[in-house]
Amino acid sequence: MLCGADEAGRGPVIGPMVVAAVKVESEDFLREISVRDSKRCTPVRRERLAELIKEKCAHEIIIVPPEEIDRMREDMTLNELEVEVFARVLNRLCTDGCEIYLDAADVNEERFGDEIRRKLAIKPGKIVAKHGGDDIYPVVSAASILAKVTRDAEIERIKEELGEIGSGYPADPITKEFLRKWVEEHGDLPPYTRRSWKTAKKALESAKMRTLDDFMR
Amino acid sequence: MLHAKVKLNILKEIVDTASILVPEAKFNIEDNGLMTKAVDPSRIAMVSIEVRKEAFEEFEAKESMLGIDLEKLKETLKLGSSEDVLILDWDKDANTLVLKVGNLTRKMPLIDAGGMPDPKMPELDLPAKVTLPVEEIKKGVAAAKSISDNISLKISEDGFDLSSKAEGADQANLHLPKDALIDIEIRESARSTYPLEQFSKMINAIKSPNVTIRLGTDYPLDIIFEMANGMGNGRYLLAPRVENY
Repeated sequence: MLCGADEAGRGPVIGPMVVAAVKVESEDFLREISVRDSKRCTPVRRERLAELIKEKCAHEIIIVPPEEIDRMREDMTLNELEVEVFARVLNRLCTDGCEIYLDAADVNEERFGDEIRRKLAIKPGKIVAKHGGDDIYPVVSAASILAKVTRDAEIERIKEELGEIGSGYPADPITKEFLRKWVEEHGDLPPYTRRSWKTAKKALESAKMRTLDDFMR
Repeated sequence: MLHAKVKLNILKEIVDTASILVPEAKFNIEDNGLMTKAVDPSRIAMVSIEVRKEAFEEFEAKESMLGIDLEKLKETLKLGSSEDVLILDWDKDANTLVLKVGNLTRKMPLIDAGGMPDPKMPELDLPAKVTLPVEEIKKGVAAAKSISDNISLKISEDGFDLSSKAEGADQANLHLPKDALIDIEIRESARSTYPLEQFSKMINAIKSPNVTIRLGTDYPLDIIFEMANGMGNGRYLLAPRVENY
């Protein structure tokens, strides 16, 4: 069996991280529906692909909510956290002898694969971790689509509740401004925010800082 | 107009006191001395400086406003040594400040002072006050640096406390009992927290051996100190960081 895994939403300060895995006997079907072009296709087509994959392939999706990310970040690096969640999703889906393909989240591809191997409860046939793995292996592309579509849906729900949050990435000025304003109005960070992220801490900190203008009479 | 002779270290003290907060400042020149006030770009800190003409070797002036690029002036002051006497002349027509150190002449274009703000000092009713050697405060700042980005100041009947606390269990506290202080006056005890970076810059810029600190609870800090060997005075205000808002 071939198994692929990928994540979506590693870096953002808002919303969950999603890790998905897909298991197939052969990649023929995935090639047929051309999953590899998914990055260049419309969100609507990506959603359609996700439906097809879910229908035809064994799969597992883990949504790691922001509170859990924060809890894990207390004693883990972001890389360790990812290894942990990748291993979790693979343990649910894979069986002994599975060939596992991954989109490497670590700068060091080999280390990423090795660290996941150590956390697996099953004995994989082999583990291949590559940067841009979702462009190389259809089974990884399929996992990538499931992860992305799932996270996008979560973000849509969050936007309906919170309003314009931007991309959710720390460098996005709209996201930064959204956090700052929310803290100013509500006295705390908005829900679905990863409090352990530097951007979140800064937004909270700057709202606590007074200016001299606040003391002008 | 302005024509003045001044020891380099005195001018440097004036420039350093202001330049920790702003890259340029407007100096108001009067016949009995000069003064400046400036607020930092984030509006959390303010400096006010008054230096009497007695701090200068020579001082002849009529009311005027000079917009000075402090960074440029700082660079120029590096060209002499602290005991050198500088000659300052303001060329009104060219709006240029002419500085002479020994055989060196440096002409410096001034910034249009009309476009520079005239910040107002907030009036603060602060219920507690201590006077103490700057060196003592520096110890508290040094201890806080590895622990937190903030420092808390407290004045109570027990004396003066500088403390900082990390998210974990790391803490530092410098306690100065009443007899370690030069003076203490309390109407009610006070405690506020300030950003350490700015507080530390202020404390390090002060050349006078002693400072007076006026404090309230969740209120701006007022630091008062002598300048130019007692022939001037300076003040820093720093806005607090509050826990509840």
